Amino acid sequence: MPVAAIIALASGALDLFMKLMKVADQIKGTEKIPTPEQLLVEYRAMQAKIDAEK
Amino acid sequence: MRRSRQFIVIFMVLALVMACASLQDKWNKLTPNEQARIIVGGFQKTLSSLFDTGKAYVTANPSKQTIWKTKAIPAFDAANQAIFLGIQACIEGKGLPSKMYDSIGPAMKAIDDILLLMGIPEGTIKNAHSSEWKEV
Repeated sequence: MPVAAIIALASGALDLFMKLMKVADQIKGTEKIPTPEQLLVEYRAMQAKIDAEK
Repeated sequence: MRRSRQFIVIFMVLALVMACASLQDKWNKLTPNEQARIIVGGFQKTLSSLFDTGKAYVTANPSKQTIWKTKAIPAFDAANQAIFLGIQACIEGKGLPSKMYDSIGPAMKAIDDILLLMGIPEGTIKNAHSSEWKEV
């Protein structure tokens, strides 16, 4: 197999792998979709941290 | 031997393509509001992580206290308010993934810029973004 073809194949595979990782991250999230209430709890906790620094 | 190696490589590439398609399909089956909630949750994790990174840096470098108080904290505040508006949209059932990126994204970018200005290495800031959802 010519070197150029191997490089092209490896680069394509790497690109696909990176894409897979990003989608896998999203799917991990779909297994546990946060409720609006959970998001509000996180928001309030963050705001408390920010206010403590003011 | 060489032929079987080629076959394995081609098979692996094909398997990756199919796995990508299947995972993307799962994501696409979620409602826009569910996708928006996942994205907001990711931004919240990033915001908290960036805050902890900044706080640790300022503790180790007290000379950066002024920029932390005058620039970074207001930027964190603004980003958290943008997140709050996103949560409100989700509560009303009007959460849209693209809107979350458009409204919260710039506020997060502003924090990155300030942390860079403080002297925090770019790689450290990038690591804090690892939990964020990205459009594929």
